[in-house]
Parts: sequence; C-alpha cells; structure tokens
Amino acid sequence: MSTNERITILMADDDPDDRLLLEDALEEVHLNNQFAFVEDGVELMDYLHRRGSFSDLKGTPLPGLILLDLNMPRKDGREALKEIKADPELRRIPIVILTTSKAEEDILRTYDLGANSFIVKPVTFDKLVDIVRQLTDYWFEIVRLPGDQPS
Amino acid sequence: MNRLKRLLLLEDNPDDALLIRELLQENYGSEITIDHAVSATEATQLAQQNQYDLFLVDYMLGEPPNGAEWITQTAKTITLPPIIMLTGLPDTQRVETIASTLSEVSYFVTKDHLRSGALIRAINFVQINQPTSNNIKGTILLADDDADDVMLVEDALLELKSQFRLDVVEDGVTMMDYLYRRESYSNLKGTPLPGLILLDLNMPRMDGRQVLSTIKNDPQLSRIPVVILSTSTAEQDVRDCYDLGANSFASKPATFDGLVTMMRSLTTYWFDLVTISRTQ
Repeated sequence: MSTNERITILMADDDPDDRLLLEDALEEVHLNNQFAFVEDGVELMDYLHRRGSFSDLKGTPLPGLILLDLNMPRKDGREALKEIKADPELRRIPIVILTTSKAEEDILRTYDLGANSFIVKPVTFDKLVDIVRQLTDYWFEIVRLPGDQPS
Repeated sequence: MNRLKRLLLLEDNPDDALLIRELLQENYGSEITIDHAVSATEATQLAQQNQYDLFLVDYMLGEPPNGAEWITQTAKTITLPPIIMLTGLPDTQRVETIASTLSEVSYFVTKDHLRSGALIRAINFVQINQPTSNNIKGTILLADDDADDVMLVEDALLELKSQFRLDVVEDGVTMMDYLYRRESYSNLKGTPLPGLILLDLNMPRMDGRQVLSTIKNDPQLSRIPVVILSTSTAEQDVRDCYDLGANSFASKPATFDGLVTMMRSLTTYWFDLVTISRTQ
C-alpha cells in the first residue's frame, strides 16, 4: 500500500507520555507513515489551517487521518471536532476519537458531531499496539480514505 | 445459533410439500419436527396449539386467504416466528412485491430454487439471526438493491458464524421507513436501531447519497455509523461520501473470499474495536 505510506497521521493529545506511547505503538506496527503531533485544540486548528507556527506547511497535503483526544486545554477535542466537521475543506478527513472517557454522553455527542469512530484508550502498551494495528489496517487496507489534496 | 426444532409448513400442493419435507429430512434429519397444514384453517389451529420456531408459508393456497393474508391475520393473534414465504414460478414478481411489504417475512424462496439450496440457506440464516439475549452483538442494516450481493453478504456473515442480526432493505424509501419504524416497519417501534449501516450508493427510489445525507442530518439517526459499500472507484464519490458524513467508504470486493474478509474486518472494527452508541 505505498500510496498510503504518503499519508500523514495527525495526533492531538495534551499528554506527552500518551503521545510518546502512540508514536512507539505506530513504530511497533511498522508503519512508514509520517506522524505529526499537536498538543491541544488551538494547535490542531492552526495545523489544519496551515497558519501560525504551521504556515510553513502551506501547500502540503492535509493529514489523511486524525487521532483526537477529547480532554485538552485551551480548546478541547469536542470543540475542535465540531469546527473541523463544520469546515468544508476539512470535514472529510476521518477523525478517530482516542480518549480515556467512556462516558455515554461523550460517545453519543462525538458521533453526532461527525466523529468517524470512537475508541477508548487502553491501559496497557500491548493493547495500544493491538488497537493501532487494527486501526491502521482498517483505515489503510479495508476502507478507502478520501484523497489528499494540498491546502 | 438457535436450533430450529419445530416448524409449520402451510402448503396445499402435495408434491411441493413432499419435496420440502424430503429436503428438510435430508438436511436436518430428526432434529426438526414438521407440522404440515394443507389449509389456512388447519394452519391457524396448529399455530394456536403449538409453539413454532419457523413458518414456511406457500403464497398460493387452494382457496382464500392466500399465504400473505394468512400471515397478516395470524399476526393479530400470536407472536409470529420468522417466516419464509414460498411461491411457484409464474407468481414470482407479484409475490415478491407482496412479500417485501410484509416485514414479518424474513425470506422469500421460489419453488424452482428449492433444489438448489435456497430454502436450506434461508433456514440456516434464520437460525443464525435468531436473537438470543446472551450472544447477539448487534444488528447490521444492509441497504442494497442487488439480490445477489445481499445473498453474498448474508453468506459471508454465515461463514463467520457471526452473532449479528442482519436486516436488509432494498431501496432508500424502505430504508427510511425502517429507520423511522413506520409503515411496514411500525412493528419495530421501540426496538433498538441498528448498530451499523452498510449502504450501497446506487439504489432505486432514493439515491444512496440522499439517504446518507438524510441520516447524518437527523439527530435521531446521525450517531449510527454508516459504511458506504460501493462498486464505484471514483475519487469524487469517496470524497462526496465523507463530506456528507459517512463514517467510512469501502469498495465492494470482487470475490466472495474478499467479501468474507471485509465482513470480518468490518464487524470486528465496529463491534469489537470501536465503541458505538448503545442508547438508541
């Protein structure tokens, strides 16, 4: 799947340990993709709009998949999700919520806002690797992603 | 998987009845008890006296009521088990139309297909679809107008011995009736909505994109994951569907094995890996 290797996976999570664990898990699964990380909802929107500290990304393809934590400072995942799914340029990017919350309220609300999937963060690294493997298999092998276009 | 133990066969033609009994005997041996009614009246009596796991109902009976009418009448007095409707060749088109409006009828088998295994497959599928409270993982709604494709998906799920109830609709209008629990689906009022929708893009009566848009714009339905299943390979179609809120877009595999793999992956992803909303 060499076309999929060009896809950037973007992760938004305020916890540096969680970001590191995910990076490790992605490596464990031998993915050759580019990963990008942002720390909160404000950075996430800047990144996607190629502005602020991310203006150097102008013209490069948008990420093909976003892994989004819900609880982040400055702008949380729920707000960012709402903004992204309301934006005609960004709404087609699949967003997988990856969060510690199991609250039915969050599950319901995020699907309603257009999240493509919702996954509860596992407690062990092994489980995380497992989830990452299944997740990437699904999005890169089983289903089709919308084509990337430069922004 | 629930074993079918007792079934009621409403069939007035003795040759057809014999063939059906032989087929059932061949496949299920002594596991199944078959009560044979040659008239609607006899069937009504039997249905009231005994508990059945399945009704096999011939549409064309010697005299009125016909099989479909008998079903509608009987529904008023007892809780119906799954029903497979049978019909001879000349009536196929008309009866299919009638059978598809009866939500009680799970399957429709033409008598010329009896020997080719259609009846047994339908019965097997009914067994898998029997909801047992402890092992049913969820309901999948398949919206596809191609009968062959539908049968392939059913077979693919059968291969997986999966614990899913599969509901099938053939067009966009029926699909919305099903989701809103109205018209021929009003008997489903109060029952949980499907956990996953597999939607073919090109269906008659209401285009798949329109249906997708309607679902994703309705707060009652938007939370249900919708996976588009399409033979289209056009980039624009993929983009359009994601823009309209599809949770995923999958290309229909060309082979049966490919379809089995896809169904396995889809059900694992949506029912084991991700969390979906349970309050419906």
